[in-house]
Amino acid sequence: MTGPVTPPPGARLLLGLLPEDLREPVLGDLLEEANDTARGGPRRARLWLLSQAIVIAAAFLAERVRRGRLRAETERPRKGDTVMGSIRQDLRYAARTMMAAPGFTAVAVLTLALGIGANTAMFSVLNTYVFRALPYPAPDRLVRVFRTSPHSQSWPHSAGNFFDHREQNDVFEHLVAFNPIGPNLSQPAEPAERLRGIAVTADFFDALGVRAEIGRGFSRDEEVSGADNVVVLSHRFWMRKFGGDPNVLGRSLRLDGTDVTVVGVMPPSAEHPLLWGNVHLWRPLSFTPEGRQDRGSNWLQAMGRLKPGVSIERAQDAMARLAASLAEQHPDNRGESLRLEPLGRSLSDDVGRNVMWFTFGLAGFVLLIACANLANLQLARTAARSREYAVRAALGAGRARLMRQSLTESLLVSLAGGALSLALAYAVVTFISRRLFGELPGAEVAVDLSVFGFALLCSVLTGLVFGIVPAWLASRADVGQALRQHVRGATSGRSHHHLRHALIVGEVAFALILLTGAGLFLKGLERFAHLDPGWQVDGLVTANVALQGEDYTEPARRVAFYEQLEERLRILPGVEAVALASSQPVWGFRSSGGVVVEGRPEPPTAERPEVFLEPVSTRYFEALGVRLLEGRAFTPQDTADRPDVVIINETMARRFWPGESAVGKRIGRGPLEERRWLEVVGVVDDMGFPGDLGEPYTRLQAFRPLAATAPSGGVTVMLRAPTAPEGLEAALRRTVADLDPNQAIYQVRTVRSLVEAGLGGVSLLGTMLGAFAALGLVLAVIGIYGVTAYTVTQRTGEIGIRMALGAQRLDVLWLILGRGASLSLLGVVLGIGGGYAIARLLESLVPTLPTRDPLTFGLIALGLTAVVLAACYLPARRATKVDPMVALRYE
Amino acid sequence: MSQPPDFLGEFEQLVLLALLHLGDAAYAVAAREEIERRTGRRASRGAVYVTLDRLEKKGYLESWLADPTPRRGGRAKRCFRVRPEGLAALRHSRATLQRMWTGLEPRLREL
Repeated sequence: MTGPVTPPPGARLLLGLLPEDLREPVLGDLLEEANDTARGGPRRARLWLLSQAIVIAAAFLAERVRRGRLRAETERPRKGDTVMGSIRQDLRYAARTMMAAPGFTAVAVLTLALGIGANTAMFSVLNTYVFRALPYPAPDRLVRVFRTSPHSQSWPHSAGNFFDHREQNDVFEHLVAFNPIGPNLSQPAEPAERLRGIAVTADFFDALGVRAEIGRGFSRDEEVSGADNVVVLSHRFWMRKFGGDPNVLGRSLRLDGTDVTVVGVMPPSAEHPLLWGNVHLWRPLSFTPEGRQDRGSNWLQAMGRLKPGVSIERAQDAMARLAASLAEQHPDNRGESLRLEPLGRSLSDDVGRNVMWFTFGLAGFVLLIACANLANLQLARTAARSREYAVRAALGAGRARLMRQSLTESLLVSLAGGALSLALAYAVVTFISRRLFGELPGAEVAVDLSVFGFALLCSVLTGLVFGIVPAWLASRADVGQALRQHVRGATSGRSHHHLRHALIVGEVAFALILLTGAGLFLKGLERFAHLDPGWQVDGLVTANVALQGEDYTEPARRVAFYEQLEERLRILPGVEAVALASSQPVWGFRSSGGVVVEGRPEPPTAERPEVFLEPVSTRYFEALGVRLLEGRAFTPQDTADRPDVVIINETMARRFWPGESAVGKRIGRGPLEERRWLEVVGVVDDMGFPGDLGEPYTRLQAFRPLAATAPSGGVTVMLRAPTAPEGLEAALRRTVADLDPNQAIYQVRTVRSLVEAGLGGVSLLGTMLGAFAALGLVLAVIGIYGVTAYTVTQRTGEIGIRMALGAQRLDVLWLILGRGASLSLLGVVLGIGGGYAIARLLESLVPTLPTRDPLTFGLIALGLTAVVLAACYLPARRATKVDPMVALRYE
Repeated sequence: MSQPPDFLGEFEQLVLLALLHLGDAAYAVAAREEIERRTGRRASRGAVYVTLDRLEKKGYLESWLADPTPRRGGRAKRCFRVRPEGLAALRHSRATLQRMWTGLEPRLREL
């Protein structure tokens, strides 16, 4: 526990149901128990306290009912004598009123269900990614550790630094490193299969707080190269591959050509697909003695479990101090520090989180519109029922009683709407889960207890919001006035009018804000997806080829494999050009590093400009359609004979050599004593990453010949095949299998589909946003139409008199339309202000999205105005058809 | 309270007995734990508080506020003591039950 638990506000409110002399002592008892037993952090304790407060309050309510019944049986009091009795009477009365007007009830419940459902669905998404605690013990003690430098706040670590951090820190119970791996499984007589896993240091599972289902995790002895031929399976993979065989320990798997022994199986609770992705197995992260000291290459992710009682702030300070002291010993570390963040934040990136909050915020407007609609409906009904209220007041009902009666009705409606909204939210969430996690078994957006609580909260709040004003008006029932008004056939009091007008203005404004937000976001997303990234996305088919095993430890062997692969792919039917690289330029390139410019003063390591470094085959730029601006592309001669060449992008050329040609200049890599100079032979267009809305951490790009770098672990192939002929995938697989049957080929798909997958989460939120906006628009239009139509009905008598006195149809049309139009226009003006604010907000949340779009903005405002005017026009036209005789007779 | 004590509900008896076991240290949290410990079944906090409140209203219990502690967020503790009327009601309830049980054992054995 990190400090005394404070009572959540809801608990106090609930305990208000208890007799006064018990409230404080009960709260004290609960606090005492919450403080005594460690229940997994202060948040959990507060939740527990709240749940107990609910139980206790419910018990006292039940007791009151029981007591009320007892007394009723013995004393036969007048109805409504006890508090409970009168509440029951209110409820019964409200239920009867609802039944008596099934149309009103249905519209109200449905409107609320849509409004609350939109919010509940969006809350479920946020809950999954942001609010819900990770499913590990004491999850608030789990944190990620990142290296920071002037270029990025989220770098990985070198092995040397990681082991120093692990040994020298005093704030972590366990500090572990991990790195995703994709081993090839090649069992005898089975096709090679690419698996997904994580290589981890010894205490990984202890840090998470997960114990093996069978067997064990890894020991520190297994962190050493050569002693690492062990594997731990995930529950899912164990079930699939071994049918859940309990005697799996000791069996062996052939991974990347090496036999490894199964030493453990982890329970399903170890997996968290949203956090770790699809994990089949865990391997030890092992190091040679030299590798353990290495500070040059940074490739390790790190996370840890804080010691009990250590706050993340304190740990942050301690780790920053540790980093500073390490930087003094090791010049490579200069300018770098460490940054901690809760592990749960890794579930989503900044852009994703921002877009989720944005969508959630706009969903709130749907609910506001729904509330305004219902308030309007309630107002109309209150007016219509003013006589009823007046009569009840005359018969002795107090103000509070009338108000409570009206509020009970609103709450009953909103609770029914809330219940229905859960079903709606569940359907939406299932749809989202299917769209988002089709390839990620076990991952889902879940409807849990907190979602339920949120829906309940929404219902009660909306019930209060749309019920309180009509309730207040009802409570002011004035017998004389109500009866007089009725005789005159006029509508309701002046205050009703003002309120109804305000609600219309609000509804239009909210709808416009909602539409602007959704419209600009969707338009921006569409424009982003079709921005020219500097290469041609469409018509490319891509696949990953793994290259693992003893046979390929020699760079020359890898190069030979790549060259043969390229040769054979080029002659496949329908393939125009072939590119090999280490990644698809969809989310960014795989690796980067600091460089120096020849002849310039040399900055310290951490302050060197960070440059993407991508190994590419000779025809890469041709195949992807990247424009060569200057110099030449790579040729087959850029191999071992002439390895030190590089092609850079335009931004890099301008930044390093402004106003002069970059071709022939040199950039350097590595420390001074091992410096390699690379000569710039060409300059190409900047390449954009169309699958990522985030800002890349550097805009400088450099390309090296694949033959000179010979990346290990595999390559990505991209085939320019505009018609994507059928059988291309099979041909691809055959080609790789012909070259080496032990190598797996995986993720064969079009690059366009990769781009769409990259934006998948965000564009799905965009779809939701669009749906919310449509919903908001429909609700607002229904609301405005309803109010205008109601006004016409109420003023039928007046219109009849006016027409009898010589008013023309146009005058009547203007009488009704004019009021509606001026209110709507006021709403539009306010909405434009709000929409502008929303646009600016969106711009600051997702800077890469092209949201400056006055045309779309203007069209939305105009469109809404037209729709709203139409909603006023229809009832107004009906008013002109009023027959004066009929109207007056009605009077 | 001159009228004869009424028959206590089962849970009311449990609560009164727990308070008697606890003596001076009797408050709701301890009473609930005592019931759970001795009967081996769960007792909801709500039920305990409601019953305490009801028994006090019936005049079977008296209560007073004890000093607040920081662990309780500075809130006072309400302590309970069984009054002679409560004791009489307990005795009455036990006697009633015993009268109902008397003579049943031989017959139960036959069933």
